[in-house]
Amino acid sequence: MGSKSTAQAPAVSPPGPDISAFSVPTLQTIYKDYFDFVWSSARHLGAAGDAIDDVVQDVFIVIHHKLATLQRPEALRSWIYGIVRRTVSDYRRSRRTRDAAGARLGAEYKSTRPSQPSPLDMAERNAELELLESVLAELDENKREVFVMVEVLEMTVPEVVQALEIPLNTAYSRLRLARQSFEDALAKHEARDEENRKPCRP
Amino acid sequence: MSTLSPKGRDLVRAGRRAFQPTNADRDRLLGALRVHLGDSALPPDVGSVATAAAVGRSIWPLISAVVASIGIVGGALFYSLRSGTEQDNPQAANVAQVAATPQVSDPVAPPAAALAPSPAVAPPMTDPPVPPSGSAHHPQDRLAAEVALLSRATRDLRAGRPAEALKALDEYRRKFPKGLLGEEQRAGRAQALCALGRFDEANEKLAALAPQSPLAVQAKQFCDARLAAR
Repeated sequence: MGSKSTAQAPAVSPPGPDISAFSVPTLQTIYKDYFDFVWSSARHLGAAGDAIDDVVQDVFIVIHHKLATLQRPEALRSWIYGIVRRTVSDYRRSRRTRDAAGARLGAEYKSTRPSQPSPLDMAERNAELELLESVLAELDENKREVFVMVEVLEMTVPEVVQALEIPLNTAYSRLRLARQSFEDALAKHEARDEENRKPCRP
Repeated sequence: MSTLSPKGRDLVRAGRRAFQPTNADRDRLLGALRVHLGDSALPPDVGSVATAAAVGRSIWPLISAVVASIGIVGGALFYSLRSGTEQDNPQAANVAQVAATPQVSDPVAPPAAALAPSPAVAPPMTDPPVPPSGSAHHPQDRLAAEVALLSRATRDLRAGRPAEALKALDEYRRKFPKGLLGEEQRAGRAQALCALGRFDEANEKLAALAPQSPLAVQAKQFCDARLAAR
């Protein structure tokens, strides 16, 4: 006799940590399972190196406060991303008023982390990050965000839809165009590099 | 849908690697969060390194006190032994005494409120320690103050004191006109107004909330129940 499963398939199946039976998780579980995601999202959204601790801490304080209102535990990652996005936006706004210069997505790629392994690794990584930064800078903000969410943060498109509250078709369209623009920009950079490497004729 | 070229994928991987946190990042933030939210929100079994760090922090004042006590006793003994022979150089003894002044304040130790024992049954929402006045300009302190005010309002509302809840929400609105938890404030205000029977005003507040948001749904359910009970 086959037992009938009562668990329903989720609308979104995140590849991230398993929240069993989609019960509302505790802050402790969220911290354990989503700390890396919160940190990476905040960094990619433009939280500057010196503000990252404050941003991440604020995100978890907000999560703690809002957890009781979480109604769709199956969409936890989208929910968390929304909180990160809002918190980073708040920090960027306050920073803009202070510095009169806005941080932008990708603007922190040049910064180095103190825990990076070696100067050589750091140099190579920074070269890659500089390239990534300049390629991403050629995408408009909406496409860039979807691109980073899917390609870098490895979110699913339905998660993007929930986090950004945009239609599914819009999300897929932005992703497709973002990938095209990304590849075009990358090809342009490579062509420019190739040109620069050519020996100068006397 | 098209996928990325090998070069594009390499770049994306570099982006992923670059912004990964380290264990030290994880532990540092966990310690800071415990200070704000208390052990009941984040019990000490999240991450062994973090636990060790937390334990280290909690026994540090004790170690400081012991070391300081030894210093005081040793300094006093040293001074009493030398005072008989070095009457001609009293400054040297004074220097030794100053050096033995107890250093009991620890800049990294969490405040006393955060070290208080957790209640046997943790409440659903733990109030963070209210930051001292005058420090609300720091973003962390500001958010903690926001959370503390909203928690007070929630507590009052649950205890059947909607007028008090409204006062706390007024205070929130005055202190944090662009607060991070503005949506929560508005939802709480709607509920407090419903509890006071001021349904027209409550409806205005409800209408200003994002209709599908969990907060709006929760506030509306609360108000519907109040209206039905009239």
